[in-house]
Amino acid sequence: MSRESSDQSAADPADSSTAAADGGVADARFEDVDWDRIDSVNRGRSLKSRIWLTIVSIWATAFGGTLFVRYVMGDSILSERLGPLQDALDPTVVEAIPLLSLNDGWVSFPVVGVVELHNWLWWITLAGFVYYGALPLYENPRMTRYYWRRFRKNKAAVISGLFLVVIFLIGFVGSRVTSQPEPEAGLDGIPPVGISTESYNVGPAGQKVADCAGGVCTGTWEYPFGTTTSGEDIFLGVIHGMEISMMVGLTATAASLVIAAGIALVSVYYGGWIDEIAFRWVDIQLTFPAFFLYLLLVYSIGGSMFILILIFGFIEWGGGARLMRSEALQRREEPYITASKAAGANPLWTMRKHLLPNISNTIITYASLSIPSIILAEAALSFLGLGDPTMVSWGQLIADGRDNLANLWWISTIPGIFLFLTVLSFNFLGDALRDAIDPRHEGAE
Amino acid sequence: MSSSTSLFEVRNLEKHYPINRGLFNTEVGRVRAVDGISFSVERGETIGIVGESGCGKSTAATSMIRLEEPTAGEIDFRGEDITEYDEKELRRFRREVQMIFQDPDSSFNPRMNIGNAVAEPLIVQGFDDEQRRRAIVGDLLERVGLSADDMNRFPHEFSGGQKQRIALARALAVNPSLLVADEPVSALDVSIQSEVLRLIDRFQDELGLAVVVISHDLGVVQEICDRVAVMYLGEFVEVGPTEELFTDPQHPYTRALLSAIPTPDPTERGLGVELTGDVPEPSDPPSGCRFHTRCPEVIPPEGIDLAQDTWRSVLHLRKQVIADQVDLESIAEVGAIEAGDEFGSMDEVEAEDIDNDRLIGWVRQEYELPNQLGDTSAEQTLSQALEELVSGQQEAAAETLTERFETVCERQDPETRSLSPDHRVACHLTDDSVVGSTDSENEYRRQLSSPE
Repeated sequence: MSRESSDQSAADPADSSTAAADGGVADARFEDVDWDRIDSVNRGRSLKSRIWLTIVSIWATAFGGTLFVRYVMGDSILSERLGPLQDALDPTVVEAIPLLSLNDGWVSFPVVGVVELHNWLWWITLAGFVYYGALPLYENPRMTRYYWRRFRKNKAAVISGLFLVVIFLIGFVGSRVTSQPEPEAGLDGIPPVGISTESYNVGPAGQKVADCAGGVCTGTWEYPFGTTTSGEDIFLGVIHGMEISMMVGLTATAASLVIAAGIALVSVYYGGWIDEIAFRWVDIQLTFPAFFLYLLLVYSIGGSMFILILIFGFIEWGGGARLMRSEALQRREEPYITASKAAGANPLWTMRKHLLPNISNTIITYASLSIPSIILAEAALSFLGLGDPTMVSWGQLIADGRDNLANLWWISTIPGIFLFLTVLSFNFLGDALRDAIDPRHEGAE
Repeated sequence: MSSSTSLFEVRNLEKHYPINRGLFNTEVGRVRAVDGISFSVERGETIGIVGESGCGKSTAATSMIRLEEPTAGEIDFRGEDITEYDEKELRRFRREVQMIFQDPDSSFNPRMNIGNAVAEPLIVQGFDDEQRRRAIVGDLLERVGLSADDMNRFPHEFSGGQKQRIALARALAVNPSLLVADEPVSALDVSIQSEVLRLIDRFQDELGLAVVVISHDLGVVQEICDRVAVMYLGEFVEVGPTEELFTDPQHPYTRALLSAIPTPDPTERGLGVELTGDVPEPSDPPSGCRFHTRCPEVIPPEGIDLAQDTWRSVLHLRKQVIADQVDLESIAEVGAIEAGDEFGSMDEVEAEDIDNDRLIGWVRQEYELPNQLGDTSAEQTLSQALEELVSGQQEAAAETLTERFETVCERQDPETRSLSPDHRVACHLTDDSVVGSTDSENEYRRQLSSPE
């Protein structure tokens, strides 16, 4: 809506419009709504939301079941403490269920096989993005065009968004069609395509692959980003790192946003002791630094992507909840909340349709700070060798090149550039999204 | 649902807010925002509730339709007590009763477009048919003078008057039988006010809507209301038909409010009553009649016969003495300045250096009291109290004044009595058993009823 048209409407001659209104009242009856019929109809949920609820419940059952079979029925710190009860629990009962089987203590599902723990979280996050993000946009093309018109005014954000979509797609598809880079003796130190380096940097097998002549080796398309000191393909490493960065950033942030927003809205709406308990808990939780909690877990049970997401997603939401609470407290006193109550709305409706959209500034700002910082934290932990040792991430690649920055500079630099651009893009995107979805904001010119 | 029951009837509605302090949130007091009000609304009738800011009007509005839980009282809608309603029944009740709010800017969710905002009552009441919903909303918008195309626009694109009309459309979406309008026009320009009021009036005629209008503006109330309730500090002091109440107000507070209406006619000076001071704290309301601290017509105690303004001045002095707020030093300084050279330099003037009789004179001047009161027994008390005051015995002076000048207004809560079937008032002045026991009081009442 352009500014001109809104001004024009505000300046509508009051007299003529009143006359029209008065005339209208005189000759028309109000629509009679048959409330009894409406009350008698048992309002079920729409097909769409029933499908979504089914998906979520299947997910929750399968994920919960997997954890239960592996950690309560199978051998773990937890099951050791169950004593005689543990003997009664035998993981092999899974075999009796059709379509399921047991694979090394883990439940194996048809088609997907054994799903890694972090992938459970990653998939439900992606499903959530589709259901709450993409689907409404697809269903309301008019609204989508409206937001797009506003969003595209911010060129940097459009480019950032595009970059992130590409990173996501390449990472998501790429890490499924390619295997993880494996170290290979002798293939080390190959430079990226078109880049030359002294041949003593390159391993004996690598010298055959790269274009070597006169003591200088030049990279070829076989290893477009070169190789690491242990002969891993950096190109593959970067692709796999893309998914890891996206997964950690989006999953952990989604989890903490849902928890933070939920806690903030419920405690603000109901107030009283609910608010008191929730936010005293936040106070306590904020005294545990997630980073050290993670270190503790790395040393006690070993680092893994799942634990990393768990820590950042389920422990780090306190600060966000506080920001959202303070914003929601202001909104709660607005007359439109009372108006909604006066219309007969239930608490869930009021929270979803009125409180939530009006604290979205805080939510988006929080997300745009949280995603990059979690991505950076994961990179930092991997750099320190505290990440998931089974997965190649950008932080690991950067760490690999740190001793040879002078000669093999590309090992650290290439993943570093991707990390830099990804973090930057999330920040740009956050700003633009916040402006685009606020109808009062006419957008950056 | 017999025809004899009113559409909406409120009996002894109370809304108190506890004041909690300390570590264990113990209740240390209560703000009596609404303290026992009763009224009824018939089908198609408009009731106005007027009063100053802070008298509890808005709280009355929200608690009478259970947007806030009332502390006590009964609220009948179509003969059913809505305070007993459970959640489901309450939701049905919300279809019948809608509300519009004072500030049109904040009564719309800035992130919800107008179409959804107007449709909200329908949606939350379970009206699923989207096509028909859009038709209803479009029709409503047109009835309030906007266009159906405005549905997709957001609240910030409309002016205050337009938003208030949209608020009316939203309230009427479920076709209610009662509309509660809390200061519906006070945030609007005067030119737009009447437009919105006319719209409410029209809808009321067409739909047989009952309306409760909350306002501090008597002009608004006079324009659209059939009956008016005047509220002071959580209580109704007078309830009556608009016409009667405006021409023959019985409560001094009503008279004061009426005299505050600006009139374009310079020869018509109103009733010339002016209220001073603020509304007292509702957490600690005055004893007896709550209005007595500001009332221009406080009834003097038996046997004291004073002109009303002198009596008022005595009460003012008494209040100040009890609160220990009489500043003798500054009275002495002012007196010295007015007396001229006699006292030399201003800095040297001290209250205690000045002759008592002289200082008493100045105190009388300060409080606009004559040197000699018309009533001998009153004069005796006053001079005794002033004597005690200037000799530094503030407590003794307070006691003297309290003892002798205590009025029935602060001692006794006035009962609400009916002057005619639908005119009720709560004031000792209308009570013959209080006023009229002595000749002087009869005289006093006669004076009041025919000013000048």
